[in-house]
Amino acid sequence: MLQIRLHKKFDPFELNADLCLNGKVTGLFGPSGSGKTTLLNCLAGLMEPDDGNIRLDETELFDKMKRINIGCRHRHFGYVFQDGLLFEHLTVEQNLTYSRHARPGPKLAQVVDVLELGRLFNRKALNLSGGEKRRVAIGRALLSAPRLLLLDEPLTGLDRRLSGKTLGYIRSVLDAFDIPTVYVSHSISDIVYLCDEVVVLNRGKVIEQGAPRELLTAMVSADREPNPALKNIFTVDVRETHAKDGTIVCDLGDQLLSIAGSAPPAGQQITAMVYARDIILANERPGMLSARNILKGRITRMDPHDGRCVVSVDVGIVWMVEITASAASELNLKEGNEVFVIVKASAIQSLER
Amino acid sequence: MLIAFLTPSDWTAIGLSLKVSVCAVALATVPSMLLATWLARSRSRFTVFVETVIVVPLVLPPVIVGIGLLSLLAQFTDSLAFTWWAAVLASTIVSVPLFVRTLRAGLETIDPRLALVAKTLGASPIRIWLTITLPQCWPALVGGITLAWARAIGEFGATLIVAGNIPGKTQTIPLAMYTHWQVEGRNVWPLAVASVAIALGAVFISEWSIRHSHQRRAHASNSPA
Repeated sequence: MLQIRLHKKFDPFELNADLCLNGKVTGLFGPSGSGKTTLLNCLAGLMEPDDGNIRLDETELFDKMKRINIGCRHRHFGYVFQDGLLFEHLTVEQNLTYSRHARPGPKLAQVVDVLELGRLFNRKALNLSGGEKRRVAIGRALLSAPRLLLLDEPLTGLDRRLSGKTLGYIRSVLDAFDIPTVYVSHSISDIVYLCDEVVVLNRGKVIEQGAPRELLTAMVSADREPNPALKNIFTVDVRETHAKDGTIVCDLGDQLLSIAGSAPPAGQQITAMVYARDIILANERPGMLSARNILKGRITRMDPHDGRCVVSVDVGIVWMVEITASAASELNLKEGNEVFVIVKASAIQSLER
Repeated sequence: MLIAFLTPSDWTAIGLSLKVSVCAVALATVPSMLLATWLARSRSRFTVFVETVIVVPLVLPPVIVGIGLLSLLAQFTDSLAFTWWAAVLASTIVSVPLFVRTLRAGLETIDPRLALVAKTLGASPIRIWLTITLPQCWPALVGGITLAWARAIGEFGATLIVAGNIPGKTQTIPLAMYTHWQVEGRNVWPLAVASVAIALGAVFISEWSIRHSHQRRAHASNSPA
């Protein structure tokens, strides 16, 4: 449990946070300049708050009144900066093993395995691609045996394909290692995919805290999200690959989902993405249709606002579907209703490496 | 062929010059590194003041530096003036500004966040300096050493005042050339050519070292991705 109560001022900006984080993976969400990175720097001990206290489980990391301020070196927090910031004069191996913390933590072999770094091991950090640099940076932080992992927008500057791929790696890391994590992002979809709790910051203030899906879908429909390209990112089991027509068939609860692409052999998992605006809803099962996926689902939530409506539909996993308010009212959509969810196989993009 | 024209006293002057300049650079290295690191990293308003003070020996006539140093030495000890150590001190003072400015420029190109990353990984300040800062500012360090050394081996004015012009004891190459030319009316060219050769050799070694480190980086960035 991470308890934060802090105040930090540098003109004209001011950060005030009073939080208690219980999630395994907490998302820090907010527009640029909302104070996400400042909060992260205060947590890591790279910046000293003007007032307040920070406590991780039983350890007091900072307390202005008691004059406690554990230095950054001794907080044992793994910090992954936006652009990875590898030591470019060293090799990947030297970067990974840079930390000499004696605490028990993830083993090198396991980190290399999860992040698939074996092939890069002897390369100079300088000549890695953007995505590879982020993976090594995450591995380096993991190998410092952190009590808390801080990821500051680790997908910034990566193109769509690489960021999807890296997102998949981050998910694998969070699943494989039991380390509480704070994930900073301004992408709703990433936070919904990775986090079990979200804190929304705006202009240096915590404006909301709660479950990512509920909180953030409400925000999208209220148009407070600066990037409206709302995506559903999800991981599914591959059942079979149809090489002839270039589709992968996956298990989605007790239904089947077709995804365009050639991918791993059956039995493996695949991470994929579909834009909320690319999904169609229908009250009845349509007849002849070129779209490969007609899934049965149940509406779990409706977030209407200003002519738009984000409908959350459970099709085995919960998808957000963005439709116009008039469509929602014509179809008479309500929470609890059964609907058919239609999506083309080619609208679903595999984010696989 | 050049060697044949050099007299034994010329050889003594060359040996002394090398000894004095190398010692001066060795003496200048640690304070210059500390100062350059502080100037490159600190946000203190005193940096402007310190920077100005450091540049003073560079812009003052060396004779004034010599007189100042001689008066200062007299306050503490009588045994240092007019020894080769006095020449080392004079050369150190005039070469520090060049060293600090070159190294500072190099240090300022290093992303300060790299040190923060190392800190979050538990590295001590000394380890950060040795494993991150030093390798990254290597070309600037070599450049700083070369410039400082070049300034030291060419030092004339301050050395003449503080160390005198004692043959075999404090008479470095520039002082010997001055004596040959002005007092003895002898041919100075062998010593001049020798001094050019030494300088060229040093600059070549430093350029090679910098290029070698660049090449290692370029090689790393060209290898298959």
